[in-house]
Amino acid sequence: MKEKAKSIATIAHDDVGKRDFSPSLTLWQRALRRIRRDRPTMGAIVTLLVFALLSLLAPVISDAFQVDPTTQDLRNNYAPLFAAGHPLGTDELGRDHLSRLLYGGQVSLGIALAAAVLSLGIGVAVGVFAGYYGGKVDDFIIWFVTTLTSIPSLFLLILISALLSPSPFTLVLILGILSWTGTTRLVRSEAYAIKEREFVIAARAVGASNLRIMFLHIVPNMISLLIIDLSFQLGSLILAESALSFVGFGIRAPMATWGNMLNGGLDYARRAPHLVFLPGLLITTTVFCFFLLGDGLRDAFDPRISD
Amino acid sequence: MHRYIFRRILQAIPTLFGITVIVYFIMLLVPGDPVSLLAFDPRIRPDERERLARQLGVADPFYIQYLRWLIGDDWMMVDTNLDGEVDSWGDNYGILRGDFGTSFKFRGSNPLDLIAERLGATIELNIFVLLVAISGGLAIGVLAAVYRGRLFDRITRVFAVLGISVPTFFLGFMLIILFGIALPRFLEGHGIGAGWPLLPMGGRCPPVRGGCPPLLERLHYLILPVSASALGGIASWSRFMRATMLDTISSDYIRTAFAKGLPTRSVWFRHGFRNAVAPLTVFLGPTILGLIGGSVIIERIFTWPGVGLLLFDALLSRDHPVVMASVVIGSVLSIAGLVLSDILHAIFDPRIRY
Repeated sequence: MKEKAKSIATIAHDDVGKRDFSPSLTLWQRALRRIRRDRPTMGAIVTLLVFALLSLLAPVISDAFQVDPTTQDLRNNYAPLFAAGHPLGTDELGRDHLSRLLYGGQVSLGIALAAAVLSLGIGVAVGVFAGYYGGKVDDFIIWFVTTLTSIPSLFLLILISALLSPSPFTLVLILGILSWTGTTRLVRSEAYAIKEREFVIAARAVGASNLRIMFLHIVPNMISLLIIDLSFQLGSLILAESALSFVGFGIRAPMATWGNMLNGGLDYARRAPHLVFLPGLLITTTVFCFFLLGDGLRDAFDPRISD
Repeated sequence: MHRYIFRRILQAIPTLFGITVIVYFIMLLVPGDPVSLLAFDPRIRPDERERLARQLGVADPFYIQYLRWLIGDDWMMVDTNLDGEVDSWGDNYGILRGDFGTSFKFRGSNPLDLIAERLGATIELNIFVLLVAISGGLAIGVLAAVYRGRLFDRITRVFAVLGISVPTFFLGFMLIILFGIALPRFLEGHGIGAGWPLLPMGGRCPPVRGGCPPLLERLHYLILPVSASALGGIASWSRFMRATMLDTISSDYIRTAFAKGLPTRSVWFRHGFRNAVAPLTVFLGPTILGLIGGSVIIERIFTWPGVGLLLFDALLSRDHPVVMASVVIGSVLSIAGLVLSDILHAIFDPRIRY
């Protein structure tokens, strides 16, 4: 903030001689440069990449330790950390905790990613229609969005999943279909502003169709906003999925997710607290990294902040 | 102002209508129809099934079913014996007149009565969460704005992101492990603390006959659930507060206040804080909305006997009338919160003109 004020105040006179006359950077180049210098954001990116890699390598790592996520061993349940053969112990049914965390990461991250992409798709399509056409279309869409967001989102989520007992695929659909409203509001107001700009009028003058203007002229101009939105969306979807699986209405055992591994939480607490700490810590860290990343991206793409 | 309040309340009606539509159609998604549930015996003849469907009112097209659910059918004749002619009055008053049917699990009870029994607990919990979240958030936010860029500001910034990243249920578990297992073990190991009043791990203070138990006793039960539930609120309110406070402090009248020599403290709190809080009323509604949704989770962890736990139990036992009633009532409360927050915003922030 202070630097910003200073640069605006002094740029007029004494900095002119020192000003950088090298070719100006594009939005993307500048954003990339800012992110590289932003240590918290880089830390978040690295952590997320490590988590993604570990989940993808779940079969390899499990093989290396000769464990798998579904084999039960009731005589060897609640094994502590670093137990023989089970580096992170076992749960109440004697299933290996390490491999369950890794495979659970696959499911949790995969579901969040797919649902975020789906909700972004719906949100952009609906939002750009509302913003571009305005009038009655806009009124109807806004009424629908207001209605959907007035129902406590967790109620709706729990209601639908409790009734449908979702598989990973249906859970992605449910999460995606329920979480696009924020994106729609964002895209709608942005489309409202962009559609008045000269390049849109020019496109219309040369006879571009409405669809072409919406998706090839307006949407590409808000890509940076959408990337930021995606990052926050990923964080909140991981939270939503874990809450849902925790209460037992999301993905059900034997398939592990970080959320449903906490389902037996209170029974674990007494005998093996690490069964609560590890999945909880993984959820928290992942969400934290996505939110930090979103914050960092917002700063990186902000044209009002100077370097 | 009165016109605005009236208009804002009027605007809530189409939203409420939309909610009933959405909830009804979600319930239609439920696999399995009531007729085959009641008559799974293959010897039952098709025409008998047809009659059963008609008696249950599920033979009509879905929009008729929805209307009968919404406004009832006691004012119209329905055909129950399949002879093509209407023969008896309907017996359903519709949800607009408070008839959500009868609970499957608690035979014959009205879902609204079940909810009314539990509503007090949910409201009590969430009022305390709101108080803690808002007062804590405002205090931290003001300090972060005063010490902008300094250590306190940077720490609370990380804390704020962390606070919204921790799942409530995980935080609840950690509190339970800490205060319910680790602390007693530690005290026992050192031979102290026998008979100390440790925090209860869940539940609500048992009601005393002829009135509420003393506030102090109830607070005892509230400490853990409120702490688990309020953290996210404290985190986000501290960010809102910091942002509006910095906005306010850079305005002209603050500079004037400093220029005429008022003490710093008085400028920050009497001129800055008061004006910075006003626009925050707009966040009250979304916060209430989030708390009502989150009550399912928090009440499940701490077995708090509120509406969230009722909804959870009803979902497990497939008690559909209670499920629908809880969701509709929860949404009505949320809309009330949103309307209230908009009205407060209009009252406290005279810059807003509608």
